[in-house]
Formats: sequence, C-alpha cells, structure tokens
Amino acid sequence: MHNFWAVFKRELKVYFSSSIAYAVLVIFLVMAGYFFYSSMSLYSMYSMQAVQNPDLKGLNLAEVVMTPLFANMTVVMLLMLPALTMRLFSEEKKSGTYELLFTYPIRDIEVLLGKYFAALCVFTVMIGLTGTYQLILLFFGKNELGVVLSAYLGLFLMGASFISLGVLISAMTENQVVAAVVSFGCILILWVLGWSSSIVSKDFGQVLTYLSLIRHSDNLFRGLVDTTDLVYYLTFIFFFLFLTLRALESKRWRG
Amino acid sequence: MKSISRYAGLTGILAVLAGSLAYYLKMHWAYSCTGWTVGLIGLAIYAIYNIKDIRDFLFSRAARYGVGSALSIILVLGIIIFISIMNVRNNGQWDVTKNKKFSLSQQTIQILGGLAEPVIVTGFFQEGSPEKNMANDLLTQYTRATNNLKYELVDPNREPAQAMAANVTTYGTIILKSGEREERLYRLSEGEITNAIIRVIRPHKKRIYFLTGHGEKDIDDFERTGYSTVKKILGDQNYEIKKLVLMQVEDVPLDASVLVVAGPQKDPFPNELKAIERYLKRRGKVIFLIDPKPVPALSEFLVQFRVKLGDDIIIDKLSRIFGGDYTMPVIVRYAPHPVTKNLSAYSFFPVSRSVSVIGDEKEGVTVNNLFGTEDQAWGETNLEEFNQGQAQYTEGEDLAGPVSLSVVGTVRAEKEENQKTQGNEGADGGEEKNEPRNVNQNSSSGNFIIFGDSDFVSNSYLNLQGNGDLFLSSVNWLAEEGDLVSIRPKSGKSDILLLTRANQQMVFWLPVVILPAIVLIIGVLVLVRRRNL
Repeated sequence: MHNFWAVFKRELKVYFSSSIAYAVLVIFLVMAGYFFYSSMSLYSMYSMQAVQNPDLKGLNLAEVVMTPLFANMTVVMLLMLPALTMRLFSEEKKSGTYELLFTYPIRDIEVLLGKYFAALCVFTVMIGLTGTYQLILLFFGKNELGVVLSAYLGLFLMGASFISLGVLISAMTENQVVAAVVSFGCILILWVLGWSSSIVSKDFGQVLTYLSLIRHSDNLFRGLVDTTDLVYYLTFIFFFLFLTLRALESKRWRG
Repeated sequence: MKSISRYAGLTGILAVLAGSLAYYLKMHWAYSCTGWTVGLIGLAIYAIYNIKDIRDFLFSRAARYGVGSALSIILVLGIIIFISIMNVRNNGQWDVTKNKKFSLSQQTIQILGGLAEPVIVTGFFQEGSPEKNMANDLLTQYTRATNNLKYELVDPNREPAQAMAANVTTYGTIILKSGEREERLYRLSEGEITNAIIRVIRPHKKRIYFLTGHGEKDIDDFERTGYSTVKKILGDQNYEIKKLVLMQVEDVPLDASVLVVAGPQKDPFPNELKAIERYLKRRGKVIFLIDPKPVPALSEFLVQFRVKLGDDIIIDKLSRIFGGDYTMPVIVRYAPHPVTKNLSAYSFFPVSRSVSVIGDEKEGVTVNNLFGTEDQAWGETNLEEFNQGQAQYTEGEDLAGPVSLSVVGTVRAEKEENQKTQGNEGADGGEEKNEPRNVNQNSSSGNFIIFGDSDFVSNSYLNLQGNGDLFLSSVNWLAEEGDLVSIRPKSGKSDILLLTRANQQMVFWLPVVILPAIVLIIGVLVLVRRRNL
C-alpha cells in the first residue's frame, strides 16, 4: 500500500510540475467553457421564442444544454486524454528508469495503479473544474441535481476507461507520440463501433453496440442510471488494466 | 538458405491468409486452395531450415510464460464476456431526472401488469431517425414492465415487403396486435400507446353509429365535405363504424357505444328525438355537431338539457391572424375537462353557431361549457347582413364574446325495465348472449357533447391543427368513460431561462476566459518556480 502511495504521489508531482497537465487542462477548459456558453445562448434564444409562442413545449435545460455539453466534452477528452497517458510508461522506458523501477521491491500492480490513479486524478481535476458551470446554473436557479450527478458519473467512467486504454498502449511502446496516436486510434475505433450496427446483421449489431464506448454514456448523460452501463465501464477498466499488468509482466521474462 | 527461408516463411503466412480470405469471400475454390498450398509449402521451407530455432523458442521460458499469459488473458476475457451477458440480461435502472422522463406512469404499469395475452408492437421508423430512438427508448420501458409485450422496430425502407403487407404508408406508424385485433397509431407518446393497448386487448370493438336520413355528413363520402377520413381514423382506433337510420327502427341499438349526429340539414322526426332521449337516459353517449341552419325541433329538444343552439353565426376576428377567415372561429383555450385537458393545439370551426348553457340548475341534468372563442368574437344574428358580407356587432341583438361553441353534459340514467347488470360484463368469445345487453351499462350516466359546427370534422378540415385530436378525444372519452386513462405528457412545461446582457457576459467570461486563465497562471507560476530552483 505504501508503495502505491509513493508512486501515486510521485506521478502526480511529475504531472503538475510539467507543462503537459496544464496545457491539457487549459485547452479542455477553454473548449468546454465555450460549448457551455454557446448552448446557454442558444437556450436563452429558445426561451425567448417559447415566451412569445406558448405552443412551444418541452424546453428543457438538461436536453438543450447539459446533454450536448457532456457529449462535446467527451470529444475533447478523446483528443486530450491520450496526451495525458502517453508518458506514463513510455517516458520511463525512454529515460531508462523503467528497468530501474522493476528492480525495486515493488509489485507491478502497485506501479500500475499508482500511475493510473495519478492520471485519473488529473482528469478528475479537469472535469471537476467544469463544475463551476453548474454553479453558474445554480445561480440562475436552474439546476437538476440528479441529471448533473449522473452525467458527471458517466463522464468520469468514460474518462477512466480512456485512461486505462491509454495506460496499456503506453506500456507497450517507448515512443510517447506512438503511444498517444495509437491510444487515440483505439479509442476512436471503440467509439465508432456502434455506428455500423445499423448495417450489419441484427445480432452482430447488438454486440457492436454493446462494445461501443459512447453508447453507454448516452443514458447517463440524460439522467438514466443503468447498471448495464456501469458494469460495462467497470469491466472495461478492469480488463485493460489487467492486460497492462500482463504486458508489464511479460517484460520480465522477455529478457 | 536460412535467410531465404525467412522470406519463404513470411510468404507462407501471407498466402495462408489470402487463401482464407478467398474462402471467406466464397471465391472460386481454386484461389483458396492455391493460397493454402503455397502457404503450407512456404511455412514448411521455413520450418525445415529453422527447426532448431523453432524448437528452442517453443520450449523456452519465454514461450512458457507467454502461453501462460495468453491463457490467463483468455480466461479473464471469458469471464468478462459472461459478466457482460449477465449484465445485459438483468439490469436495474434509476431515473434521476426531474420530470421522470424515463419512467412509465403508474397507470401504464398497472395496465401492463394486468396483461393476460401477449401484445406485439411493430413500429415502422426510419433507421437512425430521432423518432426511432425515442420509440426504442419508450418501448424498452414497456418491455421491462411486463413479459407480455414485445416490440420490433422495422425500417420500411429496408423491409418494404413487410411494410406493404402491413399496409404502412407513413413513417412513424405503430401497429399493436393482440390475438386477432389490431390498432394503429401515428403518434408516439406513452398515453397513446397505453390507450392503444387498452383498446387492442378489449375483446369487442366498440360501435359508433352515425345518424342518417336528414342530410347528415356521409361517412362514405370522400369529397371535401365528406366524413370518410374520420371513419378511417376511428377504424384505426379499433372502433366499428355503422350508419343508423333511426326512422326505421324503434330505438337506438343496444350495442351503440356512441351516436354521432353530424350536421343534419333537416329536423329529425319526433319519434327519432324521443329515441335519442331514451338512449341518453339509458347511459347512452351522443355527439351532436349542428351547423348554423335552422333545426327548430332539434333546438327545442335540446332545451330540456339546458342547451341553447344559437340562431347565429360566429364572427371571430382572431382567426385572421392564423390565416383563417372571420367566419372560422379559432379556439385557443380549453376547459380542464377530461375531453380537452390534454389538448394543446388550436382548433378551427368553419362557419359555426353558438352553443350555450341556459337556465337554472335542473334535476338529472348537468351541463358545462367545453370551450369558446376569445373576447373579440360575437354571434351575429342578422343573417341578411351576414350574407351581404357585412356584419357588425349589434348590442342587444348579437351574442357578445366570448362565445361558447361547445358544451358537454350529463344525463342521469333512469332505471331500465330489464336490469341485467351482474355477471354479464365482458362477454366471452364475441358471441352475443341471447339477451342483448346495453353496451353502456357500466357507465354512471348518459353523456352528450354538442358542437356548433360539423365541418371541422370533414375531410377538408379534420387534419387542421387540433381538430382531429379534439374530435377523437371526444369520441374516446364518451366511448371509454369507464376505461379512461389519461396520462399527462411528461415534457409539459418549458423551463424558461432568459439571459440578460450582463448574464450573457458572465456566462462567457467566467467559463471561457477566467477559469482557464487561473489554471494557466498557476501552471506558469509552478513552472517558473521550478526553473528558479
């Protein structure tokens, strides 16, 4: 346990003392902020129409602002998170500290979890800061707490999944750029897997839809918490961390 | 030779893959056979010249670990697949939205719980359309509530044969089947679907009779003034439509759930009116749609129910705004009565008379206004002026706005001579018992709805805005007064948020500039600090 904390703290320190974390955070916040602003303006415009035309029903803040905001944030995450995860193992390999790390009396899993949770922590800060938008909404008196919490849960789980994938790729190459690009590619493939479900046979299509990363966040972003989605993300994260562990282990006997 | 053997091996692998691809694509067997043969030869060459290396590798420690690792991965993957399948089959859901958008209402759940026979729902939607997703979301909730409901979403473009066999002509058609009965819907909402389920599991079709013989609107007339469209729509909602020549029979049939008197041009005979009165008193339901033509006997008949048919034509200035005519009153508000409380769209009545409540309270009859015009309308009584195209509100003569266009009323039931109430409800097998029973006997009273116009239901006006809904809702309410399910639509109110200029500025500056700037500054500070250490 003690080792885990050591790794975790060290990684966190490395993140926040290098420019990468700040760059990712700033860009993400600017983009998310802009999405928030533009959907709020749109909502205000719709509201004005609704006041003049009482026939217009069903204007709902969650639908017009929140759901698209979170959807847009996931796109930005797709781009930014590989940048965060690419250095986790690749940097070590490049700088030669990788082998050193494995001679320490520290278990693979502690190394892995320490690095993973450090990246997760940076990510949590990133989406946590967008919580200020919710405070703004609270200021206007329009807040739907249930939907907000479930949406952030979805966002968090999705990010945690992206990161677990990124960690695996990072452990398989010593080149950070390759790690980032391949991570991006893999996430994208899993993302779009659901799109082709309409053209393949029904059963196969259902499997593809289940595997698609973003399908499982749809419900959470709208306020429907479904155990299918939760279990999906948890098994996803577990599986890729497990694979990473195997990859790390294989280094030992590969010689 | 050894280096060449490497290439041979590589070629061998590629050839095997090519052969497999050819096999999969069902190309001529020669291709796959060639591929595999070449592949095997290549691999064999490789094997021969590298046998020692191969053996060393296979039995090395790395290989053993590798195989062990692969096996554990496969095992874990297998467990995960198993968990995933379990996951999809049994899942729990929590709806945390404010409007409970994703949960079915209590009434629906009750009805679904009571389903005895399976109901199959087939929705014809275009693949990828937002309506299809909404239908999917809604119908999954239904299937979760009961095992007796299954649904299927079909794209009519992909399965044209199925669409044609089911006679589907528009996107968004939903067909419900139970046993041999079928219901069709064109609108997607929980209320519509649940009510359709109620209707489709009902063993008998309810019968609606349209009175004939006095120049009423004809349900087999496909012209502009005909009622063929409304006949079709009612048929889709599982009603059986029939014509009634009341002059020839003694009474309104016992199996009449609703009687519609649609735009008579002449007065009915006295014995017909008496028959209608008897019908109402044995819990019958009548819809009167009476145009502004003189029908003195009918007007006189309705006085006993405290209804006055105005001898006027309603002039409404408001309808001009909606592109209508002064002679087509527009209704924008409805009474909170079960018939109208879920209506939202406006309705239009081409050339209508006023229908008002008169008189004091009376024993055995209750009547209320259902809807009327706004203030700027009036009931013009001077028909000469009207026919010349000029009409003005004349104080004292004309009826001042707001003018009532429709009333709804209750008639207390009188005891029947043959009281057969117990045990005969829900007759089985569709067979009539030897004693025909009054189909409305479970109602609490007779009901009527009166409209001052019959054209709003005709082929040319039925689909105008809220007209169709209004009439359908009237029929449904009268016919199903006992079975009524009224489910409020979920996304009722709009959540208005108007941002002032100042607010908009804040919404821009805070998230887009200030927040990132803070992080940026922190970052810069930290990095500068490090550099100076």
